[in-house]
Amino acid sequence: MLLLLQTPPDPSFHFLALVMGWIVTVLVAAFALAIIYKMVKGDINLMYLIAGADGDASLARFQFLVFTFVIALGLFLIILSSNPPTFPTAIPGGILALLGISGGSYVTAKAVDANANKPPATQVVVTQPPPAPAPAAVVVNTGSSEQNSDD
Amino acid sequence: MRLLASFAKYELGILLAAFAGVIVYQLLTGAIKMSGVLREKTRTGTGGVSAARVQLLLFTFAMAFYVLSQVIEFRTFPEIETKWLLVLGGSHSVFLGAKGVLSLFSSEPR
Repeated sequence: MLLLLQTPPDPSFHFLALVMGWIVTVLVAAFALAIIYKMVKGDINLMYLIAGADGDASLARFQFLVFTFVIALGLFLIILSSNPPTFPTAIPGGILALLGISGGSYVTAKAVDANANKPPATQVVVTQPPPAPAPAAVVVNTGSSEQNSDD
Repeated sequence: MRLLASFAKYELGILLAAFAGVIVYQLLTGAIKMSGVLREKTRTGTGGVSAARVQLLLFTFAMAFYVLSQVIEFRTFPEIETKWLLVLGGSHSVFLGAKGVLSLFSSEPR
């Protein structure tokens, strides 16, 4: 392993990394451009982007969108500000807590909406089973006794 | 490699700005529905403007502007003090509490 690390980098690997980098960069750009084009054209309908289940705009979704864009733009600026561009080594706990509060609020609001839109539980009528039929009366034929009395 | 890094840098910036631009433009023109965002929602329908929603919107914008301005100025994510996180959490709790109460204790089902 040490030998591998100490060997000088192969120029063909450098070329391969460059090619792969360009492919990934162009591919991501193509995907994103296609999505943006469809959003502008209206094929991807954004009308209900921040709407709740009832069709009205939801504040929980809106604030989640705002914080998502703020953190994304901030991350982008921080990455660009270093030369060469590097990902920040640490993200403060406060920023993570901010995103957690925002996301948690969105999920909780969604749960409240789902519970509110749930149809009311149907009334369950418990019927008592019909009483078991009474055991049939046993009629004892006492004909012999009548004969005895006639005698 | 330097050209690739530079290209990726501009690509990310343009794409992120385009995403944000499309969404903000559609929000402003009404293509993304914004009606009722500040109105309270009961089981009987939409009510008046809710104070809980207005305060959450104000706190959201305040915190978003604070974070963005700090990042632009110092080029690093700011350390947000616990008290401000508690304030934001409290604001969200008020909003969710009002929402839960209204959805639970409205008279008629929607």
